[in-house]
Amino acid sequence: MSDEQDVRDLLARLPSPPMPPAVRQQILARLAEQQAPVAPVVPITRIHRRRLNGLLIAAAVAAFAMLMSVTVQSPSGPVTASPAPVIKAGALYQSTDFVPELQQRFRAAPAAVGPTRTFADSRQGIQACTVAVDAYGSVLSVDTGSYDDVAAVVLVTTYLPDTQYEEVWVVTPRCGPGDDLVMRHMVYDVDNSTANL
Amino acid sequence: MDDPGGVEPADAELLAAHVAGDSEAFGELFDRHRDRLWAVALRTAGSPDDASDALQDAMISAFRRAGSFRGEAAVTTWLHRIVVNACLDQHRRRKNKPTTMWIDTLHDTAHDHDAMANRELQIELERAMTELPDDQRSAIVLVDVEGYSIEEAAAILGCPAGTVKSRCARGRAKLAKRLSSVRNPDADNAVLRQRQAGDGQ
Repeated sequence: MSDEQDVRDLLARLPSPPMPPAVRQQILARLAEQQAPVAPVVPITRIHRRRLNGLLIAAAVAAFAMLMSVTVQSPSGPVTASPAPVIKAGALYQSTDFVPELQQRFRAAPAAVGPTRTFADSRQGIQACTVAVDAYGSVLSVDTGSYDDVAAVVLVTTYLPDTQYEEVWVVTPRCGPGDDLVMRHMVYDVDNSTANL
Repeated sequence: MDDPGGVEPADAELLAAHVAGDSEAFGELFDRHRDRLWAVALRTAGSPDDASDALQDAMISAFRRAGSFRGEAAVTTWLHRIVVNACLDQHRRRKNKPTTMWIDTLHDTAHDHDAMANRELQIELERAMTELPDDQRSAIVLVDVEGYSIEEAAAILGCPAGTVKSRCARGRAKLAKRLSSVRNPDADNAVLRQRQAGDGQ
């Protein structure tokens, strides 16, 4: 028997573990969330559209002016303006109740006061971490604390393919160049925006 | 889903019912294929945590994109494609991270010597698979482990059948090389003894 055939036989005999019940429940729960009713779509009338066009033009002018001021002020070249993330501190997350805890913290927890002694102490540190872990969206929140009793930082970023969701990254306090360890990553509706549509 | 005749609706019918507003149809479709999707996700993503996260993202994505399914492929092919892509994306994002080695759970109460040897071989094989490049691993998982045809795997992976064949062949060659010492430890020992004898002369 050839080596290749031998390997194929071995591969075909590998056991296929069934999906754990907890994973099934999680997925069914998330699918159930998708069934939540959404607000009715109101068609845009001509008056609305005119008003909307005016608002869009005003927003574009304001955004251009803001971009110009940032570009002029920046000593180290052009920088894209993005909202500053809200930095929070102290959450002791556990993987078992990570999602509800995260949602609660994201919406209600107060911002941290003073340095957190992680990469999140500086805007550059946060940016370096997002580059290291390939987080493409804008950073919405940074929570320093622990995950399953290990020191960790939880980043919440916008999820570019679908703005309804946020992207969550559990990383080490040293996240950045040379440390791209991601302890957990998921796409989730952290701010419960579907319930607020 | 009402099923007065006792005949299960086809996958495509379930998907169409979901698009039409049946709130239970997609869950039924997921339940029908969950174990196979899990098996593919587990080995493609490389760890239970990654597989779980990727599978959740994939199912949400399929749930929302169901209306765009045009029926060019089987529903299972479409689902698997979404799952494999989510797993590969997850694996790429979490490169270099320590993972829970689900393979360790394969250690069980194998009593006789042959069963234990076989289990060791399977564990070594699973470990070796995690070290394959993503494209080779995903092709081997679909074709050799899950038993999909080359054509089905090509449809899932979105590449020509010839590409799947060559990825499988390259991956198997690497696995065979890695496993050769486990499958034939006497050969290695013989080489070692020869070297030791040579050193002593």
